[in-house]
Amino acid sequence: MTHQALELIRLNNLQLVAKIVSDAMWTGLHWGKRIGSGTEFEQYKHYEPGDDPKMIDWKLFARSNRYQVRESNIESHLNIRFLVDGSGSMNYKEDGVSRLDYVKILAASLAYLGHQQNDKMSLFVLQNGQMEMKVPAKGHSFQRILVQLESLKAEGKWGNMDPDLPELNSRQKELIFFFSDLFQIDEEWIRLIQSMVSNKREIIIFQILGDHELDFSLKKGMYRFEDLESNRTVELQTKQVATAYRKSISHFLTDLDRELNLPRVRLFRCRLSDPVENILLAYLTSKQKKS
Amino acid sequence: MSLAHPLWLLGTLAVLIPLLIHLWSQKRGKQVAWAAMKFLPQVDHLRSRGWRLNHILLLLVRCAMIMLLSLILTGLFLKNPPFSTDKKIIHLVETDSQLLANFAFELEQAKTAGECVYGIGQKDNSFEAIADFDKIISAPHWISALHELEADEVHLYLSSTSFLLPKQPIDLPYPIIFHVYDKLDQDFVVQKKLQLPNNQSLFISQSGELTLDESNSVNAIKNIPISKLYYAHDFTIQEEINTIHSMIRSIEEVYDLELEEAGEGLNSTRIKLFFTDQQPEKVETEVLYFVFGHVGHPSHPQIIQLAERPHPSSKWVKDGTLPERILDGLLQHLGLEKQSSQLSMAQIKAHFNTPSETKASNSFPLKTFLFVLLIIFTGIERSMAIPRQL
Repeated sequence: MTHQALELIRLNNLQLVAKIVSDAMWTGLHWGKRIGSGTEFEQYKHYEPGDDPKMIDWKLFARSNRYQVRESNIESHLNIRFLVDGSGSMNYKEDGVSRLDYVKILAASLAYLGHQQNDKMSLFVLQNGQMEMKVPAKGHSFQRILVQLESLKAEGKWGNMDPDLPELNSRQKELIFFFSDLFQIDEEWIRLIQSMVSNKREIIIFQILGDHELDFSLKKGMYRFEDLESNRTVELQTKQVATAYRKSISHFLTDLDRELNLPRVRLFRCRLSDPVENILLAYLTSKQKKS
Repeated sequence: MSLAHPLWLLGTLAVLIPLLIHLWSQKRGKQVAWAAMKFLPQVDHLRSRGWRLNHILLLLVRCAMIMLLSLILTGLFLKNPPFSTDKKIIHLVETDSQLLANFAFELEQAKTAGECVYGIGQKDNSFEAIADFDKIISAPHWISALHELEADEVHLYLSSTSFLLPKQPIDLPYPIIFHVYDKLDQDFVVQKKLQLPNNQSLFISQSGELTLDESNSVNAIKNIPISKLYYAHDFTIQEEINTIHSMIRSIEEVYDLELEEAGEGLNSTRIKLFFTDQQPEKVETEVLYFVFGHVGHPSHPQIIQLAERPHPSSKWVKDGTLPERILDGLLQHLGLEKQSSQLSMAQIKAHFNTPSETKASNSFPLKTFLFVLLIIFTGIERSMAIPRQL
């Protein structure tokens, strides 16, 4: 069963939504437990040939004269960063679903998955040429990410500049989820992504676009297009400009595909009408690019 | 044409059309919050907003165009009013039984429309059934009665042989619409006819047409017996000689006149007609001279001057009127003249000076002026609209 973004938004509870989406996604997929050595104790089991003798709990052997292997869940040392574009264009709304709402659900669902495997997670919002850390990579980050996501408002613009972002200079192994529409004045988003590329970093970009933005499928007639990031308005007959628009957007998208064809960078383009779990599934089942 | 004419006021309602279009185009488009602005073509920012000055100017020009157009159209309609509103129309009818029978329908219509129908002349019981006159004006006094009529329009029914017409043209304050009945005079007698040798006769009928009577049945006051007519010419160019011959042949064929070329030339005593291109030095009695290629008043009644030469390239030969012109002269020479007493519409009209005609001639420059103004406004409108793609 798939869920339209609108239904999920109406729930108005990101935690629940994240769970629903993730659960729906796992329908039919086997979720095997990953057991190994870790700090947190999970269970004892009898030693069997093949088990690492190092894992035998010798203290227990001293007490009970039994070879028991101490097990715990494997701890992930993956550092996940959620980068959310907070510019005004994220407020673009189609059929009641705004781009930001969609991003919130998508990010929350990913965070839920990360939470389940104990990943370190942090949340950053890109706004007005600055990258603001909303949630640091500490404990209980899942709840904090949800809280921050719920209160997130998109406004202003990213601006055509290349800010120096020290947060991105870490040498840690990390996974970056970047949510944006990638609408740019020059090539500022592309430059930002290119600057983030590193050996230790995997970058997953979710480009979320509306149907009208992709196909210009507005009904015939006069429309007043109001820029979400400035006060500029343009009044146009859709019929007059449809062909030119479609041409330039497809040009933009092919350019983007070409520019972002980088090692360890994956771009997922989704429509606001796509069910969120489909996007998640597309990401999780896609093959990791060989670097 | 008054500016407050209801028709024009109705026409000015059309001014609403550009106004509505203007308001419609001012209507804001459906509002859409849009992120992908970069991909929208950067077109006409000019037309984005508001009651711009040039928009209003354009609107005014367009309104003015419509007003002008309605003025011009109203003018056209007023010349031929599509409906007479509350005009007082008087029908003046000559009391002549044939005329009344001919216009019975019109008079019935007038009566049903409640318009006055006055008779002129003696009341005659024979046509009382056809038209019941409101009033009879006696014939001698009708001219003076015309001046006293209080009407916006007078319909005058006259027969073409009417004796009622005034001697001098009279001025009248209202327009007159003439209805002329081409009356055939029952007492018409052919004055003269040409007695052709083959027991046929040629005469001019009541309607002014040259008629060939094959049975020789029409009685005429004077019979002119006519025998074979000999003719000669002194043309040397073969094409012109051919033209003369074919012209003679066509006259022969149509009217059975017998014409023959006198071989002996001008010296023959038999010849009656002589075609030449030089003024004859001596005019023989009983010879009719047709002088081609000369203009002016002929020096002798027996000389008929024709402006064109009988060459195939001449205008008269081309339009085929040359035989007619020759025949006219010939008939006149033979004593057959038009004697019709019929009056044409133009002749009857000439007896009355009515305001409708003078008014029409006065309003002509105004109409032209309006038309030129309309063209100018159209030019202005286009020059304003095209650069802005409105």
